[in-house]
Amino acid sequence: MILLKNINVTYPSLEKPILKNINLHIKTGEWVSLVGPSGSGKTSFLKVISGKLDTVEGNVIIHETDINGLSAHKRHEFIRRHVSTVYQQFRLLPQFSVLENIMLPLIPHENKKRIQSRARELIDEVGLTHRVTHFPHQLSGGEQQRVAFARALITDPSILLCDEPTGNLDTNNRDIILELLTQIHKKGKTIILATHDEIVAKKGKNILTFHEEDVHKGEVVL
Amino acid sequence: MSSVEIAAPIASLGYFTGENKTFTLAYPHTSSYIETEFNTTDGVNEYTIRDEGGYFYVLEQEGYLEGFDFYKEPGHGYIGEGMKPEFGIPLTYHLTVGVDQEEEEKLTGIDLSALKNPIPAQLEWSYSQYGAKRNIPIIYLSDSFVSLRAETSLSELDWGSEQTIQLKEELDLQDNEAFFFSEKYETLGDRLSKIERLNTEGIKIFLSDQIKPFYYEPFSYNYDGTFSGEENYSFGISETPIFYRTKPIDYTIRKDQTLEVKQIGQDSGVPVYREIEKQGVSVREKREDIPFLLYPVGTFTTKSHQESLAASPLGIYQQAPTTKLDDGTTLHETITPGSFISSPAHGIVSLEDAAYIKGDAPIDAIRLRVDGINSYNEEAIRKINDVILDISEIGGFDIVVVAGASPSPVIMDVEGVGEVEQSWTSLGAAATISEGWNTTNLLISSVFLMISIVYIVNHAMFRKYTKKNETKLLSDIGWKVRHIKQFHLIENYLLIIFSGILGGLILFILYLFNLVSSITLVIYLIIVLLTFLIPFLIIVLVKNKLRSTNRFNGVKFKKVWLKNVLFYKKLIILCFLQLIFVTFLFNFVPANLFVTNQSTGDTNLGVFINDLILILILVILVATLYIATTTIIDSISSFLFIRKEEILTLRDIGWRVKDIHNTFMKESIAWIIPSFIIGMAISIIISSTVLTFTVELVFLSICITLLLSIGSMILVYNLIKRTLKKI
Ligand SMILES: Nc1ncnc2c1ncn2[C@@H]1O[C@H](COP(=O)(O)OP(=O)(O)O)[C@@H](O)[C@H]1O
Ligand SMILES: [Mg+2]
Repeated sequence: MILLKNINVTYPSLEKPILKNINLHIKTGEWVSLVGPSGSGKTSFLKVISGKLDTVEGNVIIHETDINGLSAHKRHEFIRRHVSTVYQQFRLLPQFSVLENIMLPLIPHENKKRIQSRARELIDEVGLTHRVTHFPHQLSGGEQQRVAFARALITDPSILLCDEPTGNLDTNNRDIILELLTQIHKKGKTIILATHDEIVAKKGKNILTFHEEDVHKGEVVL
Repeated sequence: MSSVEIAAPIASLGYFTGENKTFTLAYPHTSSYIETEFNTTDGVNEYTIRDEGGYFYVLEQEGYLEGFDFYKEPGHGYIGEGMKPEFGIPLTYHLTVGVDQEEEEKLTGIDLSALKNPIPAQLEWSYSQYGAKRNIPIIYLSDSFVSLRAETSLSELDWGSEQTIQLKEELDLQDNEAFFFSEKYETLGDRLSKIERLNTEGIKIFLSDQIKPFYYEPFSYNYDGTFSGEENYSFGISETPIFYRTKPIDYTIRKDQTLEVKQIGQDSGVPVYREIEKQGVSVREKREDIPFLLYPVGTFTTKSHQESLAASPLGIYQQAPTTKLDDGTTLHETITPGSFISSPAHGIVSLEDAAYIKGDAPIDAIRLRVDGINSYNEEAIRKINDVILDISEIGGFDIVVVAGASPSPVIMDVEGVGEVEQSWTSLGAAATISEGWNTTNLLISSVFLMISIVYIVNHAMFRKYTKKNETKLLSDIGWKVRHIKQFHLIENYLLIIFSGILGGLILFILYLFNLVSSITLVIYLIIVLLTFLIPFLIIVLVKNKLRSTNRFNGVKFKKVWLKNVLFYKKLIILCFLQLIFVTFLFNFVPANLFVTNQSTGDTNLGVFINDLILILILVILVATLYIATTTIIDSISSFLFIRKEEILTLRDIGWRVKDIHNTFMKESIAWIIPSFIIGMAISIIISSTVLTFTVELVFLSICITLLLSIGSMILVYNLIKRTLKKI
């Protein structure tokens, strides 16, 4: 469950707030699509939920915890356990193999053997069993993004944020990713996905449209 | 040149002899046969001087003069009525130099005013007939030792006064006529040799206390061992126009640093160890057109100046004894030229006279004292350098800087004598020490130069990378690893070639200005070539490792820091190299100081040179420390900035700052510490080849490396912390 109360986001360098007075309730297991033109605030919205912004006003309540009220350290730890993000640029580390990249989020926190068996399961789930020892530069874009999904899932988050995950992919790979997302959704994970792609957006049960001029007024319950 | 306080020229002239005399023996009690030969000794062997000495018959004759008449071996000098047994003292030869009296007095403090004494009128008059072209006053060292001994055998003859008178009658001589009036005098020797000798006594007469170089008072020997003044004697300066030029001894340097000296000939039965060349002509042989005559006019002494004169360049006054190595016997110069002992100057003439004797280019050296130097500091170095520059502009001089001098022992193995230890006044020693230091200094300077240049290049390289779009760099590296690898290798080499050429150019310019010697260039070249090898070796080794991690990747998760180091090795390598050089310097320089100080610190000169070098070393070490620090700061912070995207990603996937910090810390340790250890190992290897291997040396190196490691870890820790905050 995500509950946003009176959220205002202002970047220090900008005068006007990017997100203004947002009140939103996203139930657990929802699939929400964020659409809207570039610069309308989709990424900023995702960053509010993943606690990456320090200039957020209001309450960001995730599973009964107001992460905006937590210290930076505690917030980071909370997000680490509950929220994962997949990016348009994949953001895999080139010096690590597929398996290692997937394991990476848990390396400082858990026993390597346990992580490794989880990572192998995830590799199977994203269909890259034959690519375990390969390096990112040896994979196609779609494969890389699937590794990124597996990496996001290794912490077993309840909320998965996707910032234009198919933005760099062809339709074929896009469909594979959509199929993957459907399966993830079936497992009960909350998905919040920003996209420009109509087909991708329509996969979500709710579509939240961002306009450049202060759209996000009033209370929205999804 | 205003900054020169004293300029004391010196002309080395060679070996000269002075006024030559006879010495007499008191009359014995009875008719006697007296035979004398002369010895000179080097302290180990005695050498009988050939063609000197002679024999004398003294025959009782009551009522005749002093109660004796005599027969003297023909051809051995003056014969006079009533003369006592008299023998010509062999010529003794002594090193003579020409100096500028005033400047020399200022430089050394020795009183040379005797050079101004007038030539004795009587002596000058007696030699005026030879028309010498120049009368040269000479003063001599009053406290010098002349190694000469007379060996006299005294035999009582079975011969009385009546027999003398009877013999005179046989020779048609009156009782009061001396034997030498007889026409048959020459044949008398045979006749007298048949007289029975009743007993023979050998007498050793040590002449060293009586004889000084160039001049001594006439004396007579009493059989009780004492000497007394003598009025009847012969004397002359007729041999003074003859002198010997000597060449330096042709030493063979042995592996153990001792010198081997071979006998190359002999002179009057005395061994000669260096080439000598006779010059000039004796008055006895040539009675006109004599070029010069030496007139002894006074003395000088260096006794009270021995301490300070150790600092006198060329050691012309140094009198430290030469001793035999096994039993400490003091050795002497023989009286002939060509001894293996390098002697102090026994005779001094004026520079003008020296110029007259030597002809063209009489001055061998000019000793300068630079004005206003009280201690050996930066300013002193600058002053000396200024003077050196001024002199080199005049040209044609070999310049030797003697910061301080000291006698330092040299061991020589002399043929026929054995191993001896001789104090060499310092120029020799100074040369050795500074030569030894030169080699290490060259090494140090070259390494330092390399460090500085690699630093600049490294800095420039990181600049370039940090400026690039980080994402682009990462994906560049990520997408085209093999291509990038080659590119980096080539780039590394280009950088090394570039810095090598730059450094070489700087050195070459210094070389053109005569500031460094040609060996520096050679050493530098070797270092550059070695530098070439290292990246290649590392890349080849590391490449293999990467392949193996590739192969076993699925099986085991390698350490994150290790993967990172291997992956980013191209960025690290220059920095790695540089830290090797830095550690090398930090280990090698103190080790060198340590060892050199042990071996040379006990001579004054050693201390002085070490003081000078210490300043230089400190400057280099401080600069190195500065460079090392900035290298680490620069490399690590740039490195982190280059990997900003990676750091952000790690943050975003849930790593704490602490985790990232740890990883980067391990990463840094993984290449910094090995570079320290390699630098230390190289230093220990080179130190123990160039110097000597000791446990202390290794201990010292380990301590230094430990300190460096701790220091750099603290630095790196804070650096990562600060940089991560900025990101
Ligand atoms: N760190 C930032 N500092 C200042 N302005 C920012 C920052 N991040 C985003 N913005 C601005 O906020 C607006 C919304 O950006 P973003 O949330 O990335 O939009 P979207 O993801 O919809 O393209 C844009 O105008 C962008 O320029
Ligand atoms: Mg965006």
